[in-house]
Amino acid sequence: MERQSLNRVMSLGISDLALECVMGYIDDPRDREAVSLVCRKWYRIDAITRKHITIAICYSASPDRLRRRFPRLESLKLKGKPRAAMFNLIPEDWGGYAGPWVCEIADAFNCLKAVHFRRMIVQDADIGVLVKARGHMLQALKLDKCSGFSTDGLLLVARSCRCLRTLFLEESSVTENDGEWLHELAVNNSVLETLNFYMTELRISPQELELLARNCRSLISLKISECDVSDLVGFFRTATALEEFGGGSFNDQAGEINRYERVCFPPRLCCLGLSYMGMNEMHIIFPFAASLKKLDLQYTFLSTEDHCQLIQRCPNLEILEVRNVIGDRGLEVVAQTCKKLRRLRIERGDDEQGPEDEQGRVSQIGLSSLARGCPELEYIAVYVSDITNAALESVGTFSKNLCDFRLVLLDREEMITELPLDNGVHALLRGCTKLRRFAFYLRPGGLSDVGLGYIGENSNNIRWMLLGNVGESDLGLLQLARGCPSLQKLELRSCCFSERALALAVMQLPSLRYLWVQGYKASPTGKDLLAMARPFWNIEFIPPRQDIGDHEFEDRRGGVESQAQILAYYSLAGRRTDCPETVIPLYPPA
Amino acid sequence: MSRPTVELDFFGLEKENAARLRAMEPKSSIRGIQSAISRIDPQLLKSVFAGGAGSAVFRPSAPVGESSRLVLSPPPSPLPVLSPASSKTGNESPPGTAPLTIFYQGMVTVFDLPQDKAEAIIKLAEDVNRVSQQEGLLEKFNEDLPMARKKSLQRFFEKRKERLTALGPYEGEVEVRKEKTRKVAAATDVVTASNF
Repeated sequence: MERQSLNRVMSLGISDLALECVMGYIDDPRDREAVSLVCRKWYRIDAITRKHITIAICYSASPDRLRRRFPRLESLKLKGKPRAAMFNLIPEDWGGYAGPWVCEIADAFNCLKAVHFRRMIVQDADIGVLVKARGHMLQALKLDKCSGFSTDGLLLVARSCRCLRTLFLEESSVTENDGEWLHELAVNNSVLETLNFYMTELRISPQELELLARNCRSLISLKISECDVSDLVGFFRTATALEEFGGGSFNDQAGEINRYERVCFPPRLCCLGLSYMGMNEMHIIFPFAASLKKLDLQYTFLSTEDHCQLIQRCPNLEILEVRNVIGDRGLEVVAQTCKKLRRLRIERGDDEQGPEDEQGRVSQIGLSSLARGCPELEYIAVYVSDITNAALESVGTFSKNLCDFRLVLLDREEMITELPLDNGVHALLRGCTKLRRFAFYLRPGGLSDVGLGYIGENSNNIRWMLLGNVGESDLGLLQLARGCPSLQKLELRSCCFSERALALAVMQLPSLRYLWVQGYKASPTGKDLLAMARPFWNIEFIPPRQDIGDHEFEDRRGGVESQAQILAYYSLAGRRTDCPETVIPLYPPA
Repeated sequence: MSRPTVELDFFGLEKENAARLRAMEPKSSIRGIQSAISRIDPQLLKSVFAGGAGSAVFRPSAPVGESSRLVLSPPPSPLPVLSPASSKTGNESPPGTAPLTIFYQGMVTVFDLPQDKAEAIIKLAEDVNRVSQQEGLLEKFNEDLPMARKKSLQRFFEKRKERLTALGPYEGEVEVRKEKTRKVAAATDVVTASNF
């Protein structure tokens, strides 16, 4: 009795029921974290009202523990392989198996409606278990950059998940047995809103897409694998609610000059990305270019001039993704035209392309114009061929809304106009106070130890950092580690830091929960790394290897060799038990 | 470091340093020398090689440990990195030594040294300046870790290459020629094989 009245007093006279209702409105994970620490009662109520959990690395907790902590989850996002997997740097069999999680979901998570696996290995059997248990309630299934399953698994989904609103398979490696799954999806589902199998090799027939459009009147987003756009005329005519389309392909053939003239896009279309589109087909976008909010040109065959022609017709663009063929000239057009631009990504073009790249370079000129012309920018990711401190200062001065800034200095030019970039990065970080994600990939001499110190001092809100080829010595890393109060995830590549310095830095960074390193000064026995051994800190080592396998990235010298990697992360689940040969757990000991 | 006097015995340095230097790549040695020698205290250099510009005169071999004079011994073979490739026509080096030429602040000095002694000088120079060592290491890192490409873009470039090289069975030669003469962009007129 007494204890109960004490609890009631502590909850300020609010009944449990009322508390549950109120907490239902609190979604931000950091607020939730704070709420759960107030007292046991609030902890319990948070536990049963928490709706969504993201687990940044699936080995940081066991499925069982998740179930005990948050039994009534409605939405779960799990990430497996390190981010470097998107760059072919992680062995395919590294891990991140969905199996154990799917078993727990099937067993215990009775409220789960949305599942998102990113960079994980998902097998048909796993999908089978999942849909058998949750298929009747599943509204969103995302197998995002996953591998290990086939179209048979998709067939199971199509047949069992009739309430599915979102099916997302972007960039997954799917073994193709047949195209039945799409037919089954079209026939069994009437509420689908988002279907995405962009950047997969799945082969589908346009007729099935048309059938889907007929049955799913709410379809607003479709991103597909390769399929000639001229075959989609019927689909576009039927999918009248469509707002986003991506993928397809263009194939000019002799004798059919007006092959794409018949294509008429749905009236509400405002997000577009057309693969392999060239200069000759570009004009089919012109009629509605002015209403475009999102445009993806990364997988097109457009020149610098083409980019200028197209973008100057898009004053309402909010999201733009291109390769660096856009050039400084194209960025000038963006700066003048796209005043509402919030997100811009400029990817790295193909080095082997000859004449195209004469204009296809982005430098400090384009970056400065961009900063000045587009004040609403929240996200900038850019591969530059040249850079100056002044350009970074411009970003710091004008891009006040920037939350995410990523700059990579390409290694093709011998001479860079101005290095090191100490002062520029200093000004940028001081000016962009809202920055939460930051990547800075340079070359030796690009940033001194002093510059690293600047980064440390001016990164109050930054949670994720990727640093490449920065600093001169261990001192630089230690200066960085003295700052960065919010840094949770740190990726280092091609730097000169010793194991000892890495260990010291890890121990010093107050918020660090995840570290990935490739390219560092290894100690003779590797035991300097264990200086960062501590409870709940998993340390894994991927030894250097020769011959990665199918997906070898470019190496100018022709040899394929991968340097050692260190992966360390906080974990409540203890040492991994499913490591392949290529991954060696160093701590905790077996 | 030590006092800048003739008594300084650089050449009494242990053989293990010489062995370590031998293990280093010649390339970084050159870089090391070139940038590091410029940072040696000029007084130190001058005092050690007292005798000024031009060929120095050395005493014959004396046991290691005599710190008051330069000690030399016949080398097994000169370091290619240190000895100028061209032979010195007029001058004769003492047997078992080879010339070491130092360019420093407009002054050129040539010494005839055995290999181990020469290596010892390199070691000294590199020790003096660790930053240049770091730079060498950084450059080595850059070579070993080329910038990684994103998978999705890599696939796109491979497909683009396939499209450029593929020849449709019914395509005329005209199309192919047009393709090849096009300078701009990445193949806007794409010639492909028949579609699915």
